[in-house]
Amino acid sequence: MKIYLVLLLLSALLFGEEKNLNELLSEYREAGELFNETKELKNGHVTIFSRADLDKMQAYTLNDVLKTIKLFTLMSTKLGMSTLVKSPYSEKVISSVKVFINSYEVTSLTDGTGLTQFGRMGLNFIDHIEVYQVSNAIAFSGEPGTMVIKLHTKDPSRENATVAQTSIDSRGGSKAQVIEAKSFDEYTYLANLDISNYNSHEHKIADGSELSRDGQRGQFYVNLAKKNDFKVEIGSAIEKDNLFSGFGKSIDDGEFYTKNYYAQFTKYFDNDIKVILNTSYETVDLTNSDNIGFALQDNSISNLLEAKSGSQTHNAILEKRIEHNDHNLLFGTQLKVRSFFLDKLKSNGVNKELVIGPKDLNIYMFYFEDEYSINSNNTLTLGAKIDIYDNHLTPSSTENILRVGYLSNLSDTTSLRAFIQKGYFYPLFAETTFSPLYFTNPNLESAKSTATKIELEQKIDNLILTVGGGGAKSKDSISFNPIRKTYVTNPDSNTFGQYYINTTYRFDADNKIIAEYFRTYKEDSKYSPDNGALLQLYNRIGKFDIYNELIYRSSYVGVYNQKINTGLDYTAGAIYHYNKKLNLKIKGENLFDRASQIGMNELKIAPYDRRAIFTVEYTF
Amino acid sequence: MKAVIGVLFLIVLAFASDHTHAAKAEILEKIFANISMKKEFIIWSDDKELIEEFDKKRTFTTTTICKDATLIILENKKNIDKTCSEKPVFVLDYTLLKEVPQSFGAIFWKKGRPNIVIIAPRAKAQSIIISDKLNDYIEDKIW
Repeated sequence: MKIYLVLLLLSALLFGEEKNLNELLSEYREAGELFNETKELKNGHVTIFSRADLDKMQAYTLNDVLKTIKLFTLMSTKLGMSTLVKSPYSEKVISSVKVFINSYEVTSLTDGTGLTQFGRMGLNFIDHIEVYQVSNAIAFSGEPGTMVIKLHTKDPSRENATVAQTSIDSRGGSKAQVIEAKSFDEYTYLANLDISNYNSHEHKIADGSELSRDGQRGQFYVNLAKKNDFKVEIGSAIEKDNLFSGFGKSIDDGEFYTKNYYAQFTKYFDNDIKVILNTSYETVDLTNSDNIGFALQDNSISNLLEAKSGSQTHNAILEKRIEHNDHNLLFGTQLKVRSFFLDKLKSNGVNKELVIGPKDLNIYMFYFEDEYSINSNNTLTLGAKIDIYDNHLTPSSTENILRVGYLSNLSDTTSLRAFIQKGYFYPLFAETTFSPLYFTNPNLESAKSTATKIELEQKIDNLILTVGGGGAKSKDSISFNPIRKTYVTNPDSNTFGQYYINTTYRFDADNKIIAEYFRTYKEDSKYSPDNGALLQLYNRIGKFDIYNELIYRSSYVGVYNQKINTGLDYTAGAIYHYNKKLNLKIKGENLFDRASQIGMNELKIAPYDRRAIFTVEYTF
Repeated sequence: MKAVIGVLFLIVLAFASDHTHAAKAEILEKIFANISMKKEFIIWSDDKELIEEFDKKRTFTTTTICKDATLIILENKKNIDKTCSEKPVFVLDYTLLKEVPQSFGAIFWKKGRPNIVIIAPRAKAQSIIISDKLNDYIEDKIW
């Protein structure tokens, strides 16, 4: 408590004088932050990265934000990208993390989750990010996820600018971004172009082969909207990367080339009806040349694998809201149609025929939620959802979700948020349909889970103290059986527990400090950090914005029995606001070169290197 | 107890919205405290929440009749009466500086942040004196 008394005193000394106009402008900016309009406390325990936070953090890519999320660790994958690994599970357990751009769910059928392929997504067009843990599997569309990351695009009426930004980094990487966002009468538009070239440290393995994850990425996003009427969004991303480790143990050469396109139309009708239609198309070209070779599902050895695959997804969502007395009712239905195609599969230059599971999947979803206001301080949310999966090959399956949420303002300064969710996780594409390395299992059934979490928030003057915890029990989880070389259902149940504590001290609208700690418990083995901490310091001093971040992750023993040391990732950045049009930025990432690692091909690999980034931003 | 609808989201939204109007009003008070005109400040605005904030604090005299005002705070060009078109105007949208010839200053959003600009020649033409404390926000022309 002493530390907070000191902070209070400092705050009073530093900021006790009459506020000047710049301070008032910062308060106005803070009061008008868009997350105030979009965050929904009933949808889970939420962490907000506001526009001002993202600006000060110099968060150029989604990974810059993902690495700070509690209860997860950002880790490198064998194909050169990165993914969030849930503590203390193994990286082999694919987390059901869902990423949305506004109301569009970023997914990749070939990957099971959009997270892996979109970690390098540029955030230039994003205003703020909401991370929902024990997220609402009913009100958020699509299949259920344990965590939902919502990226909200910038509001053109708040932008009114054309901004160009270019960066170079100490590893020879570069980035160029241009955004234009304007409003005219009732209409608004936003267009963003982002081109990146990234270079990373090349890791050498014992036989002399090198692991490289260098690559290029281009992305485009545009939206046109009329307030309370409609919104049209079009996005595309093209990324070409070196394959890093690839599937084998001695990579010779390899490339991962993905193209992803989507379009979404949202229409708001007067009678609280919302319709969302979207379509997406992706292709993935993969080439993997390996000196030793690796075994395919038919046990043949491939020294050169070439595959070209892709998928299409179409979605239609219809939602109706009804306010009746103290009830706010949501009725919704969604149809999702997904199909997979494999255009090319060659091993050692010869066409290869491998076993492929169901290529099509239709999901019919029906959901209902009642947000009941018991009184002005207590809200009870009850929701139910039925999802019917039909893959046209195996018998269809019907899954259901039940959710109860309770929000309470215990006093003016104390609030409580509790959720219980009983649901399921449908097997991923990589488990049911296609992998060149192992047999997929189209007969897998969904894993079942029940999660319970509670969070208590206490405000003491400028300090917000949040304590949360809970657990989850799952059964029929899906795991890989190396003897049968396929995924199987594990009938055993397992339990998982966690707690966390977060303190945020706000000096004023431009200065704050966040300290956070979490610990997780799992009854059997642990294959990733089971505890971690985060320290963030956001400051403004004169014309400088300054940011400091320290991420701690505990040591652990990985699935290949490699001892991984404690991770300590320090990031620091400064922005100099030279004038109204020009900003100069410098940022150092992973400055101690000790970010949490993962074992791979007898090496220990961090998801990102130590590097310095210099950026110039100009507003036209 | 019709629709207390404690949808927390709406409460939060309303709370945030109140803060926004109060913060905007405080900024305008600070600006007007540092400018002087020949006449007493009597403010008319089409932003009703802003007028409510001024009335709460009683910093300025406000009016609901545009022609009685000595200073207009304008959000939407369509809302200004022709009889008031010669009065000094402070706008809440940068594009209005181009469209309303009598406007001499603006508070507006750009790049996700609120900004202030005061166009010195326009202020001078209307005999509005700007304090040195506002020097950081003075421009000679519209961008």
